[in-house]
Amino acid sequence: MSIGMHDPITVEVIRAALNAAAERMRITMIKTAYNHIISESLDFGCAIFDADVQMIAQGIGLPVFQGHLGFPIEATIRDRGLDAFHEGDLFIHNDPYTGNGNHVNDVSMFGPVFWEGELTGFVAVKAHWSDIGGAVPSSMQVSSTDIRQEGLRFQSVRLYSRGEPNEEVFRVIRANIRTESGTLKDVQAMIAVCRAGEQYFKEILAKYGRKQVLDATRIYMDQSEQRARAALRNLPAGVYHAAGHFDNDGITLDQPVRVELAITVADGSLTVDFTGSSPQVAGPFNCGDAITISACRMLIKCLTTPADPVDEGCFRPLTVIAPPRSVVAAQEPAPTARYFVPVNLLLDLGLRALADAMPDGIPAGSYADQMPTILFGTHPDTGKLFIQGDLNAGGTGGRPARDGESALIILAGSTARNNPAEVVESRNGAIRILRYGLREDSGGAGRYRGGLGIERVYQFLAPAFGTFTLDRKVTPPWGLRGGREGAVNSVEITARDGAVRSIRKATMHPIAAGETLRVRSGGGGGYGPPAERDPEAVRRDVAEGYVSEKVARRDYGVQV
Amino acid sequence: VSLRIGVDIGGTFTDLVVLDEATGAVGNAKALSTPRDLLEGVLRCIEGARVDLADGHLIVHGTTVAINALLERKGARTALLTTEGFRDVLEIGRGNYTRMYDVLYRRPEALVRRGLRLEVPERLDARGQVLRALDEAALRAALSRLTGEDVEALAIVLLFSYRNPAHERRAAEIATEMLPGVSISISHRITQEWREYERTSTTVVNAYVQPTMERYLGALDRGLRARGFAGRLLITQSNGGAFALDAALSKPVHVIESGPAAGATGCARLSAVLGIDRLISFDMGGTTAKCAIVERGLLRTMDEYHVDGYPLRIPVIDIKEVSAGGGTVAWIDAGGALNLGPQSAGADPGPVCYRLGGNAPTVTDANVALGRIDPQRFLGGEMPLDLDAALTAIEKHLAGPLRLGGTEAAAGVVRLADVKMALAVRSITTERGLDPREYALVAYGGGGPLHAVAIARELGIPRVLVPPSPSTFSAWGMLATDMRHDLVRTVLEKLAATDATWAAQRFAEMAIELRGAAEGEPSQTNPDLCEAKRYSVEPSQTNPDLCEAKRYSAPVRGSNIRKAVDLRYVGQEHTVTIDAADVALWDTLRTQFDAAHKRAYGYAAPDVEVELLNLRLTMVFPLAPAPLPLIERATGSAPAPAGSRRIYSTAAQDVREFSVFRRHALRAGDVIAGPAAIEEAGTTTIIETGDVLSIEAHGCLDIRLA
Repeated sequence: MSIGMHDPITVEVIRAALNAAAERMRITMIKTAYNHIISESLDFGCAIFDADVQMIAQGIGLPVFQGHLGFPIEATIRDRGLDAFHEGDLFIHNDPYTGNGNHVNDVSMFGPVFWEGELTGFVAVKAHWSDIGGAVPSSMQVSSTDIRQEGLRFQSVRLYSRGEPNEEVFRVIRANIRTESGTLKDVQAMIAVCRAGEQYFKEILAKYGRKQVLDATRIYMDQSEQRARAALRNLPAGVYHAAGHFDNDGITLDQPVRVELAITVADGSLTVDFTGSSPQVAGPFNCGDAITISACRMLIKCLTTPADPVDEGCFRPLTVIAPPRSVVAAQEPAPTARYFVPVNLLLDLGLRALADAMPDGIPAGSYADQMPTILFGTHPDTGKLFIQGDLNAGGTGGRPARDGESALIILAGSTARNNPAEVVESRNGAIRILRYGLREDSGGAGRYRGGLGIERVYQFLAPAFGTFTLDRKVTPPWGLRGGREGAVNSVEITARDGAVRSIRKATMHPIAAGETLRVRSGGGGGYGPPAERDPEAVRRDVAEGYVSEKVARRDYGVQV
Repeated sequence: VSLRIGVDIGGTFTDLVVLDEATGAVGNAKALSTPRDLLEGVLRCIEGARVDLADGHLIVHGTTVAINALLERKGARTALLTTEGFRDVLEIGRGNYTRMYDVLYRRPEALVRRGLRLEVPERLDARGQVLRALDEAALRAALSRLTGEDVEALAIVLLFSYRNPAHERRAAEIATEMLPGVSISISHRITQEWREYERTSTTVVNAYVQPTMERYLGALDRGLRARGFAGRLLITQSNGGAFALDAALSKPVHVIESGPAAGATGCARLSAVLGIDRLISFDMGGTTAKCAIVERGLLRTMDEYHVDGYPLRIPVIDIKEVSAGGGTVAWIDAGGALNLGPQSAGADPGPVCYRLGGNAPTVTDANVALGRIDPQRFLGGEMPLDLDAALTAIEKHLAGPLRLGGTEAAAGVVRLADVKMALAVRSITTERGLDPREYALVAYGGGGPLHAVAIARELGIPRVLVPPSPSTFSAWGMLATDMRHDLVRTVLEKLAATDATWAAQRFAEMAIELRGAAEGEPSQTNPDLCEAKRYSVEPSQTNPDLCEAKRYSAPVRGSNIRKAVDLRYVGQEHTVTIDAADVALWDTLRTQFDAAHKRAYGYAAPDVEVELLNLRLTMVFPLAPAPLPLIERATGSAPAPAGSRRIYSTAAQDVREFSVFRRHALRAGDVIAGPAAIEEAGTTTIIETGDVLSIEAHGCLDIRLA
């Protein structure tokens, strides 16, 4: 067997070179994107695959995208056969039920890499288009009932054929989306990412030879698998359960939707079974099985080898059972615009399920709802449509030995960053940010307090619209081992006459010039009984303004 | 008055290199750093080198004072004044995890606690227009809350100050008046780029280290002058260049990576002297090890870097640093495993074998225990080490709990240090797709030559170079630095709305600002005055060399002004930097940008409007390049070892006989086969069986690995 003959330095260099190539794809995406959701919130992912669609390197945008970038390629092979791939081809695919899993805004683009006439691998990128048509600007609403209301759907569509653009497809896209100038440039950026990936991959093949490169990838994927299995063997074997609800499906507002999972840990393997989760719902709070699998892949990464690069080997010990036509494995015609609501919940539930298996490693519940604030309107300077999307940070749960962190963006998007006020206002003359700070008293009480959520206040200088999706009221950020729940998120709009409107889910809610919008994210749950908190820590919290005197008295019995 | 002196203070040692520009002679000295009074170590070094400070015309100094204050959280008690509604920006940061899969992720604690973060009513819009005037009464009320808080430093960061600094300036005036004795850092003087968190973090770090730096640099300047020094004192910056003392006092955040940057600069100079394109600089000192890449003689600079998780928006040489130095402490964790660092014994209490009070075993103790350092010849015999104390500490704290022999435990410590440092080198090579086998490793610092061969072997690096006087090489690098000032300013204009006249005016303003780093000095005595005159007109119309030569009283060869712009297509977030040296060619920027974008990313968008985000101005005033004298050539006979001793071989994992050579006795062209130890005043180079060492013309040890 020749594999064992490769010296470890060469394997390491090839592994690192491929990861550096994927990293350059990632940087190309960030640097050439026109859309803040890509360049700042990093709502994308890119990767390099071998000919068997095994991921051999990845440039990570959003961590929750790490595990399903290959599925659209596999869907295309199933749909159109391997023969459909020619040198220079690029495909796009965003079908939520076959390989995408997300909303239709997240479009995959991928192409084959040929070396010496032989199919040697694939490069792929998936990125969020700020608009993809459908009923409302940004395409994401809270009450769609059919995927066709949410925009264009691509099923393995050939965008480039043998190096030549398929102009007919571009014409369809151009006529159906609202942000055509920006989005078509983002499409150019995605093409640049694929071409860059192809070029770098080929440079590595030229330098080390096809056989040596592919042998090395097999060796290091095996090593990744071994490391993951070894870490899993350190966990006590058993079946661990958790269940929770998200608030509703956007249509039937008083009907919470159940997500349930059972995690089986057994001799170096991990199975996540979603049996018991709700059937798919009428509104857009469904996700396809691809992103459910990807989220579970993120979970296993967090639990086993968090510091190592990501490749297919890391995922081999994992099995995911997602019952078809459930809310985590939706099928036609279920809408998926808000796919991230069940995904955030299932990730947090996955951690909670393992709290007893990993007593030192699992925090209390986090705010786990970035409640994207999507604002749009007519830009006062240019007269064109603007879309401002902000992901909101919030509190993480108290930990086994210390307070939760305040104001971190959801784990699924842990690489994403908030938008600086100076950038938002410079780009957008219709919005001013009056406050961006921590939300006092939002951390759940506990021996170790939950982290605080944030409060962000926008003022509107021109009329605009807001689309909001607030969740996690029915299952708030939970406490652990006696800790209390963290505060639930909220959105309030204050009119010029002082009247206040509270909003949880709304599409294109009109906001008048002069109105202010107050966004408050959830806090983290507390860890351990509040009565066990060091009174000095409570007094310090009051002195610094993290906890009010009133709450110190009420939750901790500490008089300041 | 012909001496140029480089002084590098590290955590453990203070190093000095002196160049006599009249004769080309180079001398050096080394003394233990004296953390309680760093000046003492400097003065001891000066004595050791038998330098008469009255003969010095230029001292270039690098110091770890700023970074240590930050890393050890021993900086000033700092307050922050910011725009109403934004005091938590410092704590929230950008909301991201830096370890994406870490469910227990913790960000570093904010350097200013929430109670000391003040807000003031005031507001500018994105163009710098005043929406709400600075409320001076509210400002005074807020600042008065600091009374009794013992605050030593204040950072002032107001939104959009890079567009209009008026409010920051006025707030600083009031703060100066109300808070006498408090150091004040103002964001627009530190960085003029947008993004409030990054600007706040940079300004707060500046404030946090400023009082410490003021005390230190003030004492140094006075101490040198009291001993007859009448020349100019320059401080090295993170960008590899140096700047004047007064600039260092107002912008100490630029000094954070002072010493490491100078060492890397020395490597770039070495690359030119030796004619080798690709080097990995590897510097192992008392507290940390650092590495950087030299490619075609150049170092890479980054616009932003992070120290302990705090973003600093200042230019810095791309250096990777790990806590693995001679003084790094080895310890056993709760699980019974051997660990290394991050604590360091530094110079005080120092490794056990120094007998200065340290009792925790360190990497140096392990090296002494294994015979890799000769205890009798440390620092050329000036500071004998206590072998028995090192052995006892290793037995007691490591070997006992590990149930190993003393030699095995010491070998474990050295092995762990080697692996840790190899990982750092890997992170700047293989992890960026660079093949370490195509590079030579340049080892310096007191520990570099001891460990370099093992690290090179671990990574497949075929060649190791050890420059002359490696333990003071960073100080030599200081002699190789140039004067450098950088300024980046966010302007955010449509490129088409600007022209050459507009640009020339902005760049001239920025030049005045750079020159004004020495703010507060009376203008009559301000040596920067001549520069101010220069930059009010295009530089070519005056004789910059004359002016600079006067200013630095150094042999200046010319000045170099680099202008560049950061451009992007409207809608993009990120930019491409385009050279704009000749402002007259401003109209060609558009086509240059399209071409550069196509080169970098595979496509251009000539139909899309282009936005000008930042103007960049760098002024470099080259000093005469530091020479590296040739050494005497060998006459034919093979070099004779001074003796031999038993040393633990990390490659063979056994104790064996190594030939021992004195480095000063070696001649160019000499060849030595391993195993051997090459000893000199500040360090020992270890080569293993099969490795071959030859002496290069300038006296560098050129080692080819087996």
